Amino acid sequence: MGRRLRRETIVGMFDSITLLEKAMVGAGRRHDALSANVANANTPGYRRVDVDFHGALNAALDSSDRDKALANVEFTAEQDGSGAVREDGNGVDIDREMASLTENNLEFQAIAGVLRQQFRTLETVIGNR
Amino acid sequence: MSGLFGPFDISASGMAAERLRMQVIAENLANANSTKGADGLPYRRKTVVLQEAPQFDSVLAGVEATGIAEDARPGRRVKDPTNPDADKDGFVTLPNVDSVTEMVDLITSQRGFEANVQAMNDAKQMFQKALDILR
Repeated sequence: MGRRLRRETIVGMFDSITLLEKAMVGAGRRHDALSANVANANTPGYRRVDVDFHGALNAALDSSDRDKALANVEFTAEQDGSGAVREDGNGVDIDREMASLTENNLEFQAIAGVLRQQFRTLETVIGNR
Repeated sequence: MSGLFGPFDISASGMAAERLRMQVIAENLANANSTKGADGLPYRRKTVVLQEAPQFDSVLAGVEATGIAEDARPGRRVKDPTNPDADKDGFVTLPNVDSVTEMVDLITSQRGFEANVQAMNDAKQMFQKALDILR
C-alpha cells in the first residue's frame, strides 16, 4: 500500500501556483513600466516609474489572511523620484532601464518555467502523461 | 485594464516618436542652407514636442508627439552679396540649424529607437515563455 499524500501537500501546490501566477502578472506590469520609461527616454520633464511587485507580494504573504491578500494583490506603477535628472527634467537613465528590462525579462521567464513544471507535476499526479 | 498587448503598444509609441524625431532632424539637415522658405523667410529649425501619453485607469500608455515646434532663435548672418536672398547690405540670414547638434540628436534618436525595439523583443520573449506553459 502506497503512502497517502498529505492533504496540505496538495493545497500547498495550488498555493504556489497562485503565487507564481501573481508574480508573473507583477513582472508583466513591471515590464510595462520599464518600457514606458524607455519610450519616454527623450520626453522633457518625465520621471521614471517602476512597479515594486516583490514588495507587494511580500506584503500579501505576510498578511494574516494570506489567500485573500494574494488574490487581491495589486501592482501599481509608482513614480520614482530618485536618481539624477537631466537638464530637461527627464529622470530616465536608459542604460539602467535596459538592465532592469533584461533582469525582469529573465525573472519572468524563470517564474513561467517554474509554473510550467508545477503543471507538469500536476499532470503526472493526474496520470495524464 | 491593460490589454494582452499593452507592452507592444507602449514600445510602438516610443518607436513612432523616435522615428518622427529622425524625420524632423533629416528635414532640418536637408534645409540647413535654405535661405528662403514658402513664407519668404529663411528655414527655421524644427523640433518634435514629446509628452507622456495620458493614462487611462492608471494604465501606462507610452509617449506621444503633441506637435512640431519651430526654434525661434535667430539664424546666422553672413556676407554674401551675390546671393539672390541677400539684403541691401549684402547679408544673408542662414537657417538656425546647427548640423552638429542635429547629428548628435540623430544618434540619440536612433539609439532610443533601438532601445524600444529591445523592449519589444523582451515583451515577445516573455509572451512566448508564458505561452510555453500551455505546451
